[in-house]
Amino acid sequence: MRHVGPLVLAAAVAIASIGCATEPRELPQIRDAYDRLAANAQVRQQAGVELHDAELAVDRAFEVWQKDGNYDESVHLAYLATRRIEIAQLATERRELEDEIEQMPRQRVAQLAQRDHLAASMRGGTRLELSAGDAPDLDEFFAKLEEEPDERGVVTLGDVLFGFDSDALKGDAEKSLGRLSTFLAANQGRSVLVEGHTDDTGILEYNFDLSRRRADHVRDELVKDGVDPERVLTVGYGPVYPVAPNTTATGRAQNRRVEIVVLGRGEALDPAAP
Amino acid sequence: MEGGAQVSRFGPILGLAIACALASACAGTSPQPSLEAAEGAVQAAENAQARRYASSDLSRALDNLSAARTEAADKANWIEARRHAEKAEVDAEVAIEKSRVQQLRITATELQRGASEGAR
Repeated sequence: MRHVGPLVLAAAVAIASIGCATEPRELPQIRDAYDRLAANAQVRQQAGVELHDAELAVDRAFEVWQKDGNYDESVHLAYLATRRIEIAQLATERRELEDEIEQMPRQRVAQLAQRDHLAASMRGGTRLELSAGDAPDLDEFFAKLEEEPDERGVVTLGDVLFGFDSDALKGDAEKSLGRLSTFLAANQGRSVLVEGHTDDTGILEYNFDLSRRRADHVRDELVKDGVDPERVLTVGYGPVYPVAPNTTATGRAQNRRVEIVVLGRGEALDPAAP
Repeated sequence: MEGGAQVSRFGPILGLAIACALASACAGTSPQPSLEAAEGAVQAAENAQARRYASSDLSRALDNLSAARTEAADKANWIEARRHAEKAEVDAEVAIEKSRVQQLRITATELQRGASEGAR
């Protein structure tokens, strides 16, 4: 018995140190929050990995309390678990938004027919890239469009044709737009969709605004040349539809552009469409 | 020597105390890896434009990171340093995720606006 005494005492102390202290109040809170999160089918479907991370974090916080009786560490781990739960919620919302955005052009194809992001979705057709320095064959481009009245054509105005952070067009581009206006005057059945694009650097809202202003500026030029404004639709896509990776300076320059989609005959824009 | 007897009697206790100290020191080994991870996450949050789109979460991350640095400078607080660093890291991850969500919300709104303007 003399030898058992200290052991019993030690055991009692060990039990007291774990059993008597109250559980951190954060623990039931994180369990509740996690259970609510895990009950959400959207979360399970969209953010399975993040949900699992949150579960592990919750379990850790409990384990450290229940096995080691480490109160402070358990409270700390409960904080991490709370944040992991937030991350899983945000990740769910992010993936839903990503899906929604990806569906948008397709929905719009269905709803608005030619109001899609046409330049990107276009297969085939005639393309013309305009950037500073080169003398592209405008004659050949418009001749081909004349030959194929039902085909679409895309004229890409490169970034260098606009001033830095500006919607103003440089001289060469205005000349090319003059040619387009002449073509549109001679081909009354065709309308154009002007899409502005930017790279993904800088402020998102600003990029949307800049892409819209550039597209609007192109429309204004065409209208100045006598094109009926009803035949020109503009849209600013900001950085959403890149044509090159935004990881290199060259790629970013390619992404900063305006694409003018010359619609096929009979694809006239219908401003009354929903 | 009474003093010597004292020492030897408390020797095991002293040993236990040292063992405990070592164990807790091991539990809170150098916070350096946690600090580095936190710094990386905060940098990634800055790159994700969290300053603009998730400023409160980024501030939390920065506060926790500076608390971690302060405590790491005083080695007695290694455990707290590690905890603050771990908090800073997860705060930064929240900030990154929130920034992405905010930017996607703006994008969705802008694209819808584009569509409705097209319909005008």
